[in-house]
Amino acid sequence: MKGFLQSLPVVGKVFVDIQPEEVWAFWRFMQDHYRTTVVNKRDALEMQLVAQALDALGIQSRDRFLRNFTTTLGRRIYTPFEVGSPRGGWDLWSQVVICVHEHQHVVQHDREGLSFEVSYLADRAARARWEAEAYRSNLELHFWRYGTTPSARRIAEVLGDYGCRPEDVDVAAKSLALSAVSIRKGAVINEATHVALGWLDEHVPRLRAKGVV
Amino acid sequence: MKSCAIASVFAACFFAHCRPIDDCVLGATRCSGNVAEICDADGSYHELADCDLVSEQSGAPFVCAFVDETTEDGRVTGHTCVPAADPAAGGGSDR
Repeated sequence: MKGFLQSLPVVGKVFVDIQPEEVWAFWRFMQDHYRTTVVNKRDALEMQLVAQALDALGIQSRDRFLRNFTTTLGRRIYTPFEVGSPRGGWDLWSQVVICVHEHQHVVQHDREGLSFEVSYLADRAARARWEAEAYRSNLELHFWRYGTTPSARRIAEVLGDYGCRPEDVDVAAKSLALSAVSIRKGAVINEATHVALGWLDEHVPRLRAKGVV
Repeated sequence: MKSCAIASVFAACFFAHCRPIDDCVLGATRCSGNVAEICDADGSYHELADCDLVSEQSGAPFVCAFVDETTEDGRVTGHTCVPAADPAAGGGSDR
């Protein structure tokens, strides 16, 4: 809803918190740091094929995959939005958050090598673990911005969309809840968040929650 | 053919990080040195957070410890990284 409001001509500016050029500069910084490239998901043939396969397997509808999910393969990040252009479901701040989330997947790729990709595809418990780690960046960014952490259970339930089992979701919820305890005590756990907060503290400190140091 | 199949299974196992099953209870946590671990649905412990790394990134010393807190998700108990000066850090890490 917020992304839709931000995208409206003239009045959209009222709903803008972080400027489009700041979002673009942030993505540029993260891409330079991690040597990643951004590709529009709808223009990528490989993503069209993945979408068809997921649809055919009954895992996820083609449109939902292409419209609602950002996907990272190696060092290529496929976004369903143009960076810096708000639209329904993708307001400007959420574009910052997803940037950090996806770059944490790049950290996992660098740390684990091919076993990250293989286990992500082949092992639902591992997939839940990788996603719980990446969603921890969402918690960390939320705490930096608002001084609170959202419900870990609600975030973990998203993993149902990734083909994870209820027991995987339970573990992810507990993992995120324990991470949230650390985050509220000042911990920065994910590497991508650590890199991102350096830029955000320097360039958009006005967005940081009061009392968060 | 058989050796090819065995090699494929071995390779898949290697890349998927096969590891011994710990037979732990789903969601159980522990400290392994200064690393918090959680038990997955596959019955093995996996890293939740490396508190030494957290210390580096947070600019303050963190240690692995047991916490028991009430949050909007309800009661949260288990091992995670807490500041060394936190009261939970003094409660021991092997509960």
